[in-house]
Amino acid sequence: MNDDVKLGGLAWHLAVLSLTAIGGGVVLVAPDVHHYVSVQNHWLTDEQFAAMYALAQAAPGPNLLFVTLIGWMIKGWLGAVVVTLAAIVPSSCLVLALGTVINRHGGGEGRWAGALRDALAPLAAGMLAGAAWTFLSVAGAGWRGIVLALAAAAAAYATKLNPLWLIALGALAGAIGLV
Amino acid sequence: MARTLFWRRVVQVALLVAAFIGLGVAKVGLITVVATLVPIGFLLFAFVWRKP
Repeated sequence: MNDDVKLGGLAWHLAVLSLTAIGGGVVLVAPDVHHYVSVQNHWLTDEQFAAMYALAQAAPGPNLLFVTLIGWMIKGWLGAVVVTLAAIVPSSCLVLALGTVINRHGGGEGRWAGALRDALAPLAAGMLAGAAWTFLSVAGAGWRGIVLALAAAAAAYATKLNPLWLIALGALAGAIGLV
Repeated sequence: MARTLFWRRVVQVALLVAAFIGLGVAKVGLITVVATLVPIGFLLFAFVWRKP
């Protein structure tokens, strides 16, 4: 546990991030959280962060709850509770408020909801692609990794193949040294 | 109507590319990307290129 941690700052950072995670929360938020806790503040090492992220991904439940483990690692149970609430409460309130406003103005098929959906869909796709690009850069994947990622994205888009098969094939490609 | 649909598609592709470049290549940060592009996209689709 780290005594130098400013829990309020971390909670505020997570609260703001949670409001902007459109389309794929954990994928979009993880690089920013990593930068904040590991690069900027040195509260966790890269290995600790990666371990917490992998553990949360493997565990059942919402993947965004990897922040709970990070809070627990750097500030114990208090940290776990505070960062979990910071990640969940603001975004839940936003959804509740937006849902109320949209229902008053034509519902999901109304003008405002349609405009919001039309704007958010391409943005979510673009941001996920950007996050994937960041992960590939950080991992030093090279052109083979980029080709593999593009092939996986194309397969996921064009087929109804279970993503677990794509993950397994990617792992196999890594295990035999293709990427 | 076809013209509107065409421009809606162009704007959507532009938003996708801008989000990719902002977050992946330029690395300006998630908050900046969302705070900039969501209002632009919403306003364009709500007032300029409304769904026919």
